[in-house]
Amino acid sequence: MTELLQLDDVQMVFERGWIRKRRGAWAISGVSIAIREGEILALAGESGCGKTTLGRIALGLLRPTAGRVLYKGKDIWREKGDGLRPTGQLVHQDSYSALNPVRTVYQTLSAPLRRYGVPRNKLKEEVKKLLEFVGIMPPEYFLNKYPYHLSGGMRQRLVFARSIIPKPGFIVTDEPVSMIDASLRLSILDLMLKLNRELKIAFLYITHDLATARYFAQKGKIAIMYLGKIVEEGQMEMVLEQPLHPYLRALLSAAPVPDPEIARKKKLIQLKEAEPPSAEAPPPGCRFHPRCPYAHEVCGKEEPSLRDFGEGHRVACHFVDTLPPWRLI
Amino acid sequence: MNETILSIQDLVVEFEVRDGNLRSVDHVFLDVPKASFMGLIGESGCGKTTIVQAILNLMPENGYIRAGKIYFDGIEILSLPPEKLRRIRWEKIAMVFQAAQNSLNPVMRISEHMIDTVLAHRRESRARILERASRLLELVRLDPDRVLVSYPHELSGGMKQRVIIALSLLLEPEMLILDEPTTALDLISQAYLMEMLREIHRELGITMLMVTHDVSNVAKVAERVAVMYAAKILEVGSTEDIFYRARHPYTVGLINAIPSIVGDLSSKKPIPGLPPSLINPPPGCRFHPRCSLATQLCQEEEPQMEEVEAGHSVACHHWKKVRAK
Repeated sequence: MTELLQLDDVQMVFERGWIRKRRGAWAISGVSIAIREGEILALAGESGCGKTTLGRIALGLLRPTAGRVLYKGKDIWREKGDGLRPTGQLVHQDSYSALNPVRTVYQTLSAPLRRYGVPRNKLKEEVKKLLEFVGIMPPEYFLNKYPYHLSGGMRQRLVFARSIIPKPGFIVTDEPVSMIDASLRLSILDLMLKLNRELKIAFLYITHDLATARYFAQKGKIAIMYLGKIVEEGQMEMVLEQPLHPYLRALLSAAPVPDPEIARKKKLIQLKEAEPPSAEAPPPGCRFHPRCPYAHEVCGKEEPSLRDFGEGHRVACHFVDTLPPWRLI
Repeated sequence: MNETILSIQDLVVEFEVRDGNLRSVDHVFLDVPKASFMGLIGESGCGKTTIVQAILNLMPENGYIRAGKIYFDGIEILSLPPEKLRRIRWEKIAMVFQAAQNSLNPVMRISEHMIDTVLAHRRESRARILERASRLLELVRLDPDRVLVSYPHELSGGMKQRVIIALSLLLEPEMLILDEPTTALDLISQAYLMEMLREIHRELGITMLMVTHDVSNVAKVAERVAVMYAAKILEVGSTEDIFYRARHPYTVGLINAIPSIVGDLSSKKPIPGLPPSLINPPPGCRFHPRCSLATQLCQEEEPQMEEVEAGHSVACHHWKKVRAK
């Protein structure tokens, strides 16, 4: 089995202080994830859990303070030059700031196409093909538009069009639809599914929204992150059907559902504290124990490691076997 | 149905912008029944925030209420002199604005916020104010002993949002308007806030109007829902009417475009096309360029609100052909 991208026991500690460096926030401590060719992995967690940092590490934009990042089996921080760069792309939530405001749609796409070997006399044709492929239609109409002429959805499509020019092996998308109108969100996720299906591009989909994660990574995997650690991971369907970690259960119980009957019946799991502690000083033992309604003494002392509960469904909790059965409603 | 506490009639609001007049609210009618929990949903830029700004006549500099009447408890409030309107704000209608967490004064303790707010409207002893404040803080599940002496920076975003809600209830208003109350809150804090709002509504019997783009949050707490699109209200009904028996193609499409953590995903799909510009909106029904049922009639004639069953109204020429799944 070939792993396209592998993060192996990655750790990221940000330094603080200017003259005298001190160790500051632990953004990520000991995380391993792997994405196969053409696979979709959703990385979900609340703000401050380290998911964005992990995405930047996956792209080689940040060098982890410990651990390895392997692309097609090679450690990207040991290879010379920027061997990884062209193979991973980033699409984040703010398409406006991702595009140069003084470049037209044509210029935005033709420059990288040229850089990747398209001859001058073929540029226009290629740009049009690309626009059509990502659903910016009719292409002629948009060629000379500037980013501020485009709606948020169109801009995000343009960013995706640009991102596939280097034929990336994977794309890291960080909340790509959170600034898109609700009625159009699925169209961007559908575009990403098309890139995945037709171009075999793997995706690391970073989000706080379990519903869009479920839609996009239905046949893929999900990893749940809490305070710099993965607490649960596995096949999307299996994990959402039978969530085992109390944190994921709390998230699911809190997730709003667009169906009044289910929404009203759903019982919110009451946590001991509504808000997470600071990532700068994570609690000892299991990081979730101060909020966990099922925590025992050992949880404050010993850190649980990820254990496999069948078919790659891995959970880091001491009491998986004694938790009450899961029911959403 | 209960008597109406707030009635918006034929409201028109425009903004003067560089490209012309942007009509953000266009001949809108909306009745909020007393002691109900009403949700007003719509996508960004549809004019839902403008409606609530108009209710309290708190328009931004370039915004103008061009026509319409707003009745609160039978009194027309848009024509009231400023001093009288000021008394209605906060005392009768309190409002929690978007990202209100940031509206607390950073150099004032929460207790001072409470006292200031009350004294701006009436004379009352500090002890009595603080006693009531403590009760309200408990209602929003905060520890009054800790929170009252805190400065805003000592509280988390979710706690500040709850302090604001306690503040808004301090003068015992009859109606509370919330504009996107969950913005910038984490998922779990959002869920707690929603649960709390439902409890406050149940316990105090206060009328709530929640404006949001988050269709799922409305499903949980609201009893009635109004759906807004391109400066118009297209459909109003009970939450069940809107989610299970919607008769406007936009409502059906919007709900079908929201992914969920449960249920079938295969029928989910986005609405094709884009919301129109409000400077030059399409003639006839504003949704017709995106609508699969649109006919010649929809391009020419604007549909009016029609009652399709008791308490459920819709503005669509072809509502009889619409069947929600």
